[in-house]
Amino acid sequence: MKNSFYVKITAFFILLTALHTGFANEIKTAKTADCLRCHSMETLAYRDTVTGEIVNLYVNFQQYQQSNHKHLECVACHTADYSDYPHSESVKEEKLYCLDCHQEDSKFLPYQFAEIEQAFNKSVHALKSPHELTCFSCHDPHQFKISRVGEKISEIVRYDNEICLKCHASTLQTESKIKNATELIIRHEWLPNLMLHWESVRCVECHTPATAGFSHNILPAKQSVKNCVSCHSKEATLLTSLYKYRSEEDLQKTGWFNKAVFNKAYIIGMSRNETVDRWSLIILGLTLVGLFAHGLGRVFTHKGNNK
Amino acid sequence: MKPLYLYPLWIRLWHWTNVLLFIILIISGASLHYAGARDWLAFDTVMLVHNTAGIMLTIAWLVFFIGNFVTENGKHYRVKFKGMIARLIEQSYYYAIGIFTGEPHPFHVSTEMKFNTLQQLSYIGVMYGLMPVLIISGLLFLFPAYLPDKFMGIGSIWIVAMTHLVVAYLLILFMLTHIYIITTGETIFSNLQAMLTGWHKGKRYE
Repeated sequence: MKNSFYVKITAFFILLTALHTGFANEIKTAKTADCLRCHSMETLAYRDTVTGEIVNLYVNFQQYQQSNHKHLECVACHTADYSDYPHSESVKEEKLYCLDCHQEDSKFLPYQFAEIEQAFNKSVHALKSPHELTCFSCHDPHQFKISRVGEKISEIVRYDNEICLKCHASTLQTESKIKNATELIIRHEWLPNLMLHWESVRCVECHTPATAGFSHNILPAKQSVKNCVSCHSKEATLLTSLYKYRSEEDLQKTGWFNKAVFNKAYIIGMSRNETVDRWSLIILGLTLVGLFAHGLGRVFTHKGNNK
Repeated sequence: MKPLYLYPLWIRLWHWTNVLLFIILIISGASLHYAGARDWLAFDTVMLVHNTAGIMLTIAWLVFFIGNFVTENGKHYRVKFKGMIARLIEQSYYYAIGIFTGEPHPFHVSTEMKFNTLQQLSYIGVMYGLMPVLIISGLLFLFPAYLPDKFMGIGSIWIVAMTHLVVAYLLILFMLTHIYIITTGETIFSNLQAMLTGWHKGKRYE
């Protein structure tokens, strides 16, 4: 009987070790594993008693593993006291702020987090919903993945546009904001080849100021780009910001934009060049004036000659 | 002197076809070029019109090019280099000054040569210079797949676009000048009439 007990205990520990080894291949620390025990359940959520909204507490571990934060333990960011189960009410008060980590470390300098914050503060998101919207409203830190040079453009476009559509094409109708796909389509009706644009161009290309780098200053609809030429002509800012995902080498090799867009016989604004247009119209205008003056001169001198 | 039969039927038909196509191409071209969010002509329709008219203009140009070989019309485009500079100066002087002071026209139209030297050089420039460039750049627009992506470091389709644009502007410039210059004949409408009837009338050359 006693032997049988030891056998069972040993078997249990062998099994536990085996399970733990397997799990540890995926999860680095016991703490993260502890968290995921509950938070990897898709149904983990609660209803906020104040707002009445369902707050989702689920973390998709597979996506987390592919995210930029995959090397971080949960507690690296979530520093409140999570030792009790269920966690105490106070953890709701925990304020997470990207720049806590991203400002100090010099390795994040290239990503210009301080500039991002400045631009975001000027954006329509920050101005219209100052407390509602934070970095996390668009960027889920559990799955955030920075776009990388060389990635398929269509994938980058899809990934980035989904962030916008999560709110702007939601079926939830709230207040005066554009919240459904139909209204989104109506508002973009002026845009030729709408679906082609949405599949090939990120929302932010038109809805942020035209700068060479990406700006987090999301503009109000009225200030967004509505001029075909600003994207379609040479050295246009859109081209620059799309191109930045590609290495120079890649560009020289394939010239994807030429292939993808210019393969269609003609697209709006392709022939536009402000300098050529301006000077050509000036020359044509001056020619007309000159010819008219010449004609007038002939009329007057003809009368004079006939006298 | 009897009236001269300068413009055979095929030349007149060719000329007025060009007029019609030029008007269509300028309007549709400008509409495509300056297209924006709200256009009074639908982009897709205009594109079809422009492409079709462009192909027809190409055929018209071929008719002209071949016609000048198989008929005697080509002789009007053969440059006589002897005394050319002097004739150019003389003709320019006439348009700049002589025309106002009532001086006689320095050039006399004949069945051997219907163009004055200035006219001849402009027509040669347009028909054998600008038009082929316009047509080739237009065709490259239609078949961009056969273009390399880059030419000398610049997107080749952009070079095609700019060439087509500049040549188009130059041809509009030619057209405006051409429409004005034809009023400097015997009477304001005598040259226009000649292109309609084929017959060039004028007492000045008697």
